[in-house]
Amino acid sequence: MLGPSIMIVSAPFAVGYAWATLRSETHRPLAKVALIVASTETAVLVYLLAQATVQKLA
Amino acid sequence: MSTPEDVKARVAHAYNHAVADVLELDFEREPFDVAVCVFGIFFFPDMAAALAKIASFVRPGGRLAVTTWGAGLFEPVNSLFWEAIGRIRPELHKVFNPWDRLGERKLVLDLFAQAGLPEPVVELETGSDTLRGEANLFALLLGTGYRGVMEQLSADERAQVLCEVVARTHVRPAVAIRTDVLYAACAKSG
Repeated sequence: MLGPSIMIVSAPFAVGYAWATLRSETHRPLAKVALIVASTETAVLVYLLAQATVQKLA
Repeated sequence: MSTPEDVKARVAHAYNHAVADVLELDFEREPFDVAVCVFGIFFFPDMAAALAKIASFVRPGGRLAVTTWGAGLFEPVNSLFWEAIGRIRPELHKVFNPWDRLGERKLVLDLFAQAGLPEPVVELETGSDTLRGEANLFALLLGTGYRGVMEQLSADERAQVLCEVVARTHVRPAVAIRTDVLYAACAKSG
């Protein structure tokens, strides 16, 4: 069963909290996630973290 | 079993990104069960418009949550930092302290009302953190909203600010700073 769909709007410096929110839901796949940050670099960082986690799960 | 390459390929296929003004975002309306705004709403020039926009992406009955800093954030460091900036670069004094716009419960309630949203439940969680030495202090000044000001200082000015704040906060061996947080959450009406 899919988890909720989540939109996260985060300050770049608070993206750790956003990441914690995503991780807290990893007991079931999220239906959809949107992350909005005022920094392309931060968005890329979170994407890389997500990829690393997926890689670990695989 | 999937290989990492298989999974990465699927993730890459499912991932989209865009660079845009939040107020101009063009997602499908109401596709999300939950929206959270984490220490970010006070950066928007028009906070009510931004909150209303974020809420427009939440389905009826879905949840909307906002976190913001409580009043007195990072005190006593905050006041001492701005005093040092006022002496060293007066034109930068308090040009950027956006969380001051939303540090009280009533201000949060007013914001939700201005955005046309139901009255949220607002909780204050008092907190504190401990800075131990210059490295912690420097991490605070460069790892939060102060960074915009710090990056406008020369290397000498940065050192001078750090020296002043270190001397007056007694960060060696340690100083406690306030980190109160306000949580606000409501269900979007149908």
